[in-house]
Amino acid sequence: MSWSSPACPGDASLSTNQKVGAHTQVLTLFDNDTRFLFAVDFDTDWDPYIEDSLTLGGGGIPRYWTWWRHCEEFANFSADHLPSLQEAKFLMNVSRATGLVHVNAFPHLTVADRARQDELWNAFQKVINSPAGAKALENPALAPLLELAAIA
Amino acid sequence: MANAPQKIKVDFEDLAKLGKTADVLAASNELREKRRGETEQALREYKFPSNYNPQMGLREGRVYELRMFFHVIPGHAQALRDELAKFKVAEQRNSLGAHIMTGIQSMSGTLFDNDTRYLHCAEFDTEWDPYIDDSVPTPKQQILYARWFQHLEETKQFNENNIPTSNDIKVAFNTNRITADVYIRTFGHSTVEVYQMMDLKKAFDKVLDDPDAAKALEHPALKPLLDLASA
Repeated sequence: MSWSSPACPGDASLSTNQKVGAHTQVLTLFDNDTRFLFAVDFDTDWDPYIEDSLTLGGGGIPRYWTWWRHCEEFANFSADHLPSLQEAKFLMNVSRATGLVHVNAFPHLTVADRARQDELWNAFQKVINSPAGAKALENPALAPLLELAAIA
Repeated sequence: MANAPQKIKVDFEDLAKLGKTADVLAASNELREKRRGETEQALREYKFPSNYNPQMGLREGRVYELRMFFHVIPGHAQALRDELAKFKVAEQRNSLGAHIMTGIQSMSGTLFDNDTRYLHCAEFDTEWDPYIDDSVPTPKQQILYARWFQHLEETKQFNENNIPTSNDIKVAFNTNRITADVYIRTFGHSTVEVYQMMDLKKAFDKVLDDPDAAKALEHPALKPLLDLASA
């Protein structure tokens, strides 16, 4: 037996963040509201990540425009003249600073991996919280799962 | 006069050697409990500035965001780079023991504005005081911070001869911290929960590889799990 097919970008039930492989997004005004930091952690390479972000679900470039319009770097554009995909990629890239150090507790887990683990965790919780499920787990063949029930 | 609380050694690598999530968690809780007297005394006796605010930072699920903006001392950018490279490889920053004891999920450091500014970010899943107290419990961990603090205008009083205590680090971070305006996490689980999920996945994979176990999974009460498996 094997797992069911993993969560993937084509799955309509996924959030936009899951579709584009984004783990976190943090938006911060700093230096007395004169500067703006947009920070994101993502799974894929830059081009597919940013192209998916700017085109998949959630409003695409018009959605980004809601904050770009307040930034000096996008002053050459307007609601009637939005940047193209390539222009947007370029503008985000020229304003980007690469980290010197980046440590992640779970660097090997993609968003799709996390979604699958979440799914399994919820199913397991459902089983151990039902008396019949907890009893069924006592089958010796399921010992690896039963051991985890004590701490989950 | 009350006796001074006993100093307890904390070594994240020793914790990590326990291997199993549940064992590391139990040992972490035990260590924290043993250190409680020492930590509480340090908190009581430390003179926090009047504007100290431990309630900063947004939370998503179980996780808090932390970002701090500093100024680099002119001429110190390369030295800061070198220290941060060492900070990253310090094994105890990136071990099962450190993750479970401190709840740290991620850390990043970025120079910007032509190496004149430094942004330090982290995500963690405990409250502010225990997060710092557990992250830098002894000089062994505190010195790692002194080494990069010495290159920043806001924290240049610290160095290997003047190692910050955990409460000094709280104040240094808090003074230069800015709470985010928006914080989105696709998954808000704690570090311990993610490790437990990984343990569950391993156990489930083991069960699926065993024909007897796969048969046992067909019990109607286990349908939620069986639904995740395919023949």
